[in-house]
Amino acid sequence: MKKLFEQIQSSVSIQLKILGLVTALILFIVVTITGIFIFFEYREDIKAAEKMAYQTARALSYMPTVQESLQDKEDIPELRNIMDNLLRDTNASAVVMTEGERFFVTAGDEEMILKVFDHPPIDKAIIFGSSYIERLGTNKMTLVGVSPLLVDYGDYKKIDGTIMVIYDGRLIIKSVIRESIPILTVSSIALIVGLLGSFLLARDIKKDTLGLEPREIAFLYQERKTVFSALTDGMIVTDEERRVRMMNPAAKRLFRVTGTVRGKLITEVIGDSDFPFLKEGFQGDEEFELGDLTIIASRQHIRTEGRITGTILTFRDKTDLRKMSASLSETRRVTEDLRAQTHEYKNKLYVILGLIQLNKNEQAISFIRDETQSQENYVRLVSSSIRDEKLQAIILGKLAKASEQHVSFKIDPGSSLASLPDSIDLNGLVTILGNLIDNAVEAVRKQKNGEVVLFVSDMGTDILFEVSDNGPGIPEKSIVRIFERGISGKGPGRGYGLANVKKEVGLLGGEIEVQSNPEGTTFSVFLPKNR
Amino acid sequence: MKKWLLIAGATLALAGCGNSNAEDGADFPNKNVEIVAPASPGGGWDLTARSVQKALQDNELVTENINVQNKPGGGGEVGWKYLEKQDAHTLAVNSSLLITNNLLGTSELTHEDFTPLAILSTEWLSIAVAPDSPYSNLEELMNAIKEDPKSIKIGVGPALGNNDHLSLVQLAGEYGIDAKDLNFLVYEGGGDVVTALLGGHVDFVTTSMSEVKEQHLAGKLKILGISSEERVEDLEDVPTYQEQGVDMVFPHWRGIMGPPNMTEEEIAYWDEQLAAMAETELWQEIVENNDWDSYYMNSEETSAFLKEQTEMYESLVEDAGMGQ
Repeated sequence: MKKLFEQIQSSVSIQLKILGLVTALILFIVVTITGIFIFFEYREDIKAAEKMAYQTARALSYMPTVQESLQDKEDIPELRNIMDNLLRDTNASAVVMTEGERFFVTAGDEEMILKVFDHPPIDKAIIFGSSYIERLGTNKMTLVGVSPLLVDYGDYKKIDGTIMVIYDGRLIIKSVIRESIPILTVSSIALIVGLLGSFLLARDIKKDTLGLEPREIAFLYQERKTVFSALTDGMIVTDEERRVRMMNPAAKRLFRVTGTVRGKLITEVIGDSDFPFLKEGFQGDEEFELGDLTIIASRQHIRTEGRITGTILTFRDKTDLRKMSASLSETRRVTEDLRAQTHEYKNKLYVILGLIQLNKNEQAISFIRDETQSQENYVRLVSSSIRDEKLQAIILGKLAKASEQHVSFKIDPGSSLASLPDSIDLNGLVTILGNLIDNAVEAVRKQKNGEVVLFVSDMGTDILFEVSDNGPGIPEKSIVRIFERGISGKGPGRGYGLANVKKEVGLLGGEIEVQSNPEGTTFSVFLPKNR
Repeated sequence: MKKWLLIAGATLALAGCGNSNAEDGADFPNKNVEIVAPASPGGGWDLTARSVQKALQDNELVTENINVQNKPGGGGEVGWKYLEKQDAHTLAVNSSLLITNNLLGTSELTHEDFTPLAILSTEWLSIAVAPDSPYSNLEELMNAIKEDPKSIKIGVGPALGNNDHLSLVQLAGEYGIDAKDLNFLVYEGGGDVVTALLGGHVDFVTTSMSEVKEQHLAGKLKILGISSEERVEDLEDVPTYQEQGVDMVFPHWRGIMGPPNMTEEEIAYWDEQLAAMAETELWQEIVENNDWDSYYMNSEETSAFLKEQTEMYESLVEDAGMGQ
């Protein structure tokens, strides 16, 4: 039941609300004004009637015909005539003339005359000779103007009677109501005009809001805000003057902006006007670097009636994607290393199988012993100078691969490394060494005496890795660009290796150097021990 | 900018004037004094105004010039309306008409619209008959009226509603006579009333004692009673109404008042001067010569007295109107 009520309440349209409010307002004003008008009009009319009754009574009491009619009965028709004229010319309901207290001549509405018949309010006029107004009846609706008839007898004057002029207050109310008909008419017209106006206003408002109710707009606004905040992609909306209308938290994080940005110029907010997405000819998705982040920006214009009234910019952080793809390629590399190792062992197993089939058991045993010996020697060499297990694993993996390519991969005998600090993780190490060693192997694999040497040292404050090859070296014109993305001597679709290496080195706070001449190339990586 | 300077200057100048006025307030009065007699020259109000003027000036109580202004009309209304708009340098003579005009519907003014300063004097009212009248005292007369009110003609002047008239209405009321039945003939003035009595046109008159005193002493008419508390000098043979069993004292007082909104200092000034005047020999002499009685009350007493009088007249008019 309550739910139903709420539903009804919330479904009251803006149109109905405006209509209801305006109607109530106009009704209130109209009723108030009409009420005040009627009240004042009534008061004025009553006052005017009182004054009229008083003055008419006095004027009559001074008229010779009136005074003489008391002595000379022949004057009575003339007196009646005067009274009838008076009733016609004024709004008085009745006139009464008394002789002493006795009714002498009356004219007008008998009902009104009867009202003063039992207790005529004439005592003060008879005793004190004064003229006045009396209001009689339960509602004081009968107005009586009283005046004494002070008859002149020559030497003296004497009060011989009174004049009463009677007004019916009910008639005054009726006339006031009649007079307020025009104002009521005007009020009704005002009411209709007001209703029409409010109807039009409501329709206009609805048109501006695309037919949405305010509560729907509020909901949309709330919804939009929440959606924008929930987006992991950054989003900036600007108006036609490139002022920021909205910037979601993700965008603020990307551009390291805090506080209110609404209304500021976008170049002010993000602090640079050189971004590609701000340029005129920007064509959709394009990558750019922002600090250590890789961002893809896209742009969409808001068009209202064919005109650009705003722009929506979205930013996707591609750094995570990159990282993932890098580690994927590292995994692939390790798998490749393992496959090469398996291949090597398989070859050796075939040698052993052949020797056994030929019944050259002695030779087979000696081959296995030699192989085992040389493997153990190598492992011992590696593990004696390089104590870090992570590094050992990488080197052993690369050894098989180099061997498959018939490239000699050696550890410089002077190498020494205790254990790597925790800040250097396996992924980073795989990226750096894997890429450098693979590149070196690739550079020399077509040579007869291809050789790759790794030197590792943790003397001093840095850890030093040096990967050398005796390949043809890097052409001088491309050496300055080898760390850039997409630059490679290996053809199209390649060229991310060294860029990734440089980035990893950067992340670990280290440095990378390269020396190259036609006799070989050496990459040196310095990684600080303490960060 | 200039305009503002001018306005500021004017304001300062006005403020300055205000200050000097306030200082002058200590020297009140600082210009000619005016006493309004709200009637034509020759009547009781005019006489009172001129007597006050003379007594104040001759005794040097007020050093400023004092003028008497006659403003007749409307039973005092015209003069009092004029006073309403003056400052404390203008005073006006008044009487009970200030109260009864309002009660009988001829004026909107009441004593509360003014500043009462003093009651100065009073006359007493009397009832007189012809020497050969069948009525030798108040009771005989009233009983006769009660029996056949229309047959007994009463002379009064110059208008109904004055004290001469009202005092008789009250007197008749005390005897249980319906005021409506009283047969009043209204004459032009006090003199005409006496003439009518002497000429036998009326059976008795109600008028000021001063109007009939000489004729009574001369034996041309007979005063049956007087509205005072005690018998009056020179008329020791005339009993008061009270003596004849009617509990009623009816002064015909005259006083003086100022405009509304007078300051306490101004009231105090006039209180002092008028009290001093009432003590002077000159004033006493005037009172004596006019057959008045001294009836002095100061401002505070006058306020209370006017309130009391208003109540008295209200009940008088109301009771008469009720047909008692």
